[in-house]
Amino acid sequence: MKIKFSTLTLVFASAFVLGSCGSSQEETKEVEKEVEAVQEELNIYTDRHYEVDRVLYDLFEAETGIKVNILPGNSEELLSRMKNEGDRGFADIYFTADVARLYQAQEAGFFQNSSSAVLDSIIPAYLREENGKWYGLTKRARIIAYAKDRVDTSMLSTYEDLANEKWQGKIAVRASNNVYNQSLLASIIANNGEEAALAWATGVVNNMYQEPSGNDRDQVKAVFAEKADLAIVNTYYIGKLLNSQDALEKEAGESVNIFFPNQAGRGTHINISGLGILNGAKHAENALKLIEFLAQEKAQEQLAEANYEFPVNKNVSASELVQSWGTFKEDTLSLQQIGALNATAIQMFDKAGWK
Amino acid sequence: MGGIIFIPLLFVLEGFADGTNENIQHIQEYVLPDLIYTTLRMILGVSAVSILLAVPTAYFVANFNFPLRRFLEKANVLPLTIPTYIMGFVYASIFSFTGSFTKLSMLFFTPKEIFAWDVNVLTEGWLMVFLGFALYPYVYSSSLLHFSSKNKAITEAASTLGVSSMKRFFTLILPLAIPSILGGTVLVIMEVINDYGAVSYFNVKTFSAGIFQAKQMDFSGSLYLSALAFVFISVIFGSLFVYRNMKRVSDKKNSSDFQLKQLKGPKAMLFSFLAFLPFFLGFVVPVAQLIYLSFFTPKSLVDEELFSTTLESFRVAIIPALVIVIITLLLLYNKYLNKGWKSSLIANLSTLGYAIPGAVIGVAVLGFAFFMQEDGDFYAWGIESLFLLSMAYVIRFMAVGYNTLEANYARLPDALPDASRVLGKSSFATFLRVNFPILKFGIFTTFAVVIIDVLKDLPLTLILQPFNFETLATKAYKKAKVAESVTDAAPYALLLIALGVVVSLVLMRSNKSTK
Repeated sequence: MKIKFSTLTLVFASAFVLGSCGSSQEETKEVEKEVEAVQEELNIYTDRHYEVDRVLYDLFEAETGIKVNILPGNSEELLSRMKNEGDRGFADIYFTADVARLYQAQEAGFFQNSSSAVLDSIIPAYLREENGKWYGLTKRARIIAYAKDRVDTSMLSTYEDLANEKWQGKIAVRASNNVYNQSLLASIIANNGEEAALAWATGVVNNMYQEPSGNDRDQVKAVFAEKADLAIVNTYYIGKLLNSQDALEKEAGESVNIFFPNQAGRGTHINISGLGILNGAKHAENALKLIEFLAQEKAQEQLAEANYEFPVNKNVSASELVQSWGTFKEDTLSLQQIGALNATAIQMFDKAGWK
Repeated sequence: MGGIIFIPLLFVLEGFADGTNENIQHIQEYVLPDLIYTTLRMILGVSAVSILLAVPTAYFVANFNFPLRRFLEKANVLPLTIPTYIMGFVYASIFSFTGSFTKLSMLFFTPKEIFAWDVNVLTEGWLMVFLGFALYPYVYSSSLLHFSSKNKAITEAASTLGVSSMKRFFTLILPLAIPSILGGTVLVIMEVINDYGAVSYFNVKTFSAGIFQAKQMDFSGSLYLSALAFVFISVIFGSLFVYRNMKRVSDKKNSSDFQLKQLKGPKAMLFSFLAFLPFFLGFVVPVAQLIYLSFFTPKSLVDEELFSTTLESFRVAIIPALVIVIITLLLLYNKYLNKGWKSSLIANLSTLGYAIPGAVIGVAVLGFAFFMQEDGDFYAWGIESLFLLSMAYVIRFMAVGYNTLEANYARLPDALPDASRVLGKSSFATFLRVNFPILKFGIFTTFAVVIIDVLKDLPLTLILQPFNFETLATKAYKKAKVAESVTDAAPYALLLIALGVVVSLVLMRSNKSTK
């Protein structure tokens, strides 16, 4: 009896393996047929995992009849995949939440040129690549969140000032593997030169309240717990804390105010979420249509509302909460340049001992 | 057969080709020394925590009877259903300044007093502890198997000779258990090396974190580090392999008809408590925290796709699990036919995939797919049909399957198949009629253990998934990543754990019925 049973199991198992291979092949064929029938579609690699993105793709689909397929991954994995695929892949667009990634993809030759009068008129030149290789869609600012009860705004001025000894043991900032920090340092290298930037990074390391760990929220919480007085974070995390369902998290968000640095000089460092059309794109026209759709007012309003970011379309205003933080002067340094300095920034962090 | 699994991994060694690159020089100067020490420290630390939690528990459960023993025997396997990155995130969220620890303490203290304690768990030391909570069941399982089958005769003999129980444990029982403990520890080490999510959140720079960082600079740096990691890991495992083979205990007698020592009074309570503690820290606490957090998850995030994602996760896990079982049986059959070191080596090589960071295997499989066919048709088919993803799972989780099944296989008395062959049966018939039925339970266990591991996988799924595809693990990770808080991921993480628990429960029931 036992033998029969086990033999049966083995037979069943092999049949199952074979069967499933067969059926998946059939499925692929069916999918291909379907694709031929529908024809209009668009494939996106994205490392943005916001609900609002899916909402906008659905809206685009309803308006144009173009089906949007997404492959959501980590930027590192997606870049490896694009590197291996070359132009044999099936993605049309790469969408990412940091300019350093856009630049990396650009340098690796993943993007094709594009031109669109619509996009050129909506998106300021410093927020896109000159040949239309990529376009910025939303902006986020890396700002100083300071303890309301312990820091007076008169003490705050610039990013450069954060290296001043007066902040010894008072700064909370996350690790150097974080791409937002890398882009911030790249902007300082671009503005002040490598030597000054290294001195700055070393100074900030000396002023940290402890070795960096955790994410942007954790830095704000350290200020809330009075471990540090200043946290270097992206604006939208403050928005997320203030809107948390958790009362204590909300309290942490309320314990800080936002300060936009370098207002008397070059302006506050900003970063973008952006996207570009890939070399092997089989639906390049559809891809451009989607980018134009996302840059226009209707989509920009939703993007701004959902994630406490700043719209790139100047006809659209930021969400109420974001507006309450006040208007500020942006550093209009070309983001292209920030991307180009990313590798230098990573190496500089290692030299400065920024863990 | 082992070669088929092993060869795609050789694509990794390409990384050494570009040794003069400027980024690689930077890595050698600033990153590498620290990276190697940190990885070694993490390996030693997490192994130590795992062994401390696992070995006493396994010993108590195997030898003594105390309240809740039967429950705890099974329950101590369950922390395996929690991925390491979720364990890291969850414990960090408990001890964050606005976390459950602060909230509970606020019943008795003011926030100012609590913050003055300076509780900070985002450190390397605490990460070792938290990863130990998630990984000790590997050591627990392998040592439980050993304690409940191999050492009875020795223990009984020593006890009749009047050796005290403490002395007996440290001089006789523990040394004999070392190969089994190591077997489980190997799996722990592999998981530590592979973890990316937790180490990056805690900012502990192991090889995985280094590869990630190098990838941010350029590809050659990361390939170089991957190749180095591959060599590093091969050396560690090579030495473990040699050691285990030297120490292999020949006693295969399966004497399950022994008596448990009945404990009473405070000693019984103490043993219950000690065996409960690892389960409490590794499962009860994190699950309770996740349930608590899920009340704060914005309702909009829990969509209708929850059910289909669950099914999808399960569906992609079944085929690789079956393939692994079949390959393992073939390897064991080969080992049974040819008892030499060669077949052991082949088997061990085929399990090396588990030690290589998942992202590296993913890239190796991509390289393999394009090598097979230049124009990418095979690649396109391979991605859409999930063939490449399944293949990567098989390479990666072969070791889990092999080690589990081999442990069961090792308990087979050699005499049985030998007798069958003397009686004129062919070796394949013997394998099928004698070895296979006895292994039936082992096969089922292997199947379940692999499914649980595939369910938890992150890097391979992320790199080889087709369009419009999600598993519970990728969803949980992305939710946690976007919001930078585990709150949004809590429902997905809970479902993932629940699915793992269901598989384990089915496994335990069948375990009972075969006994």
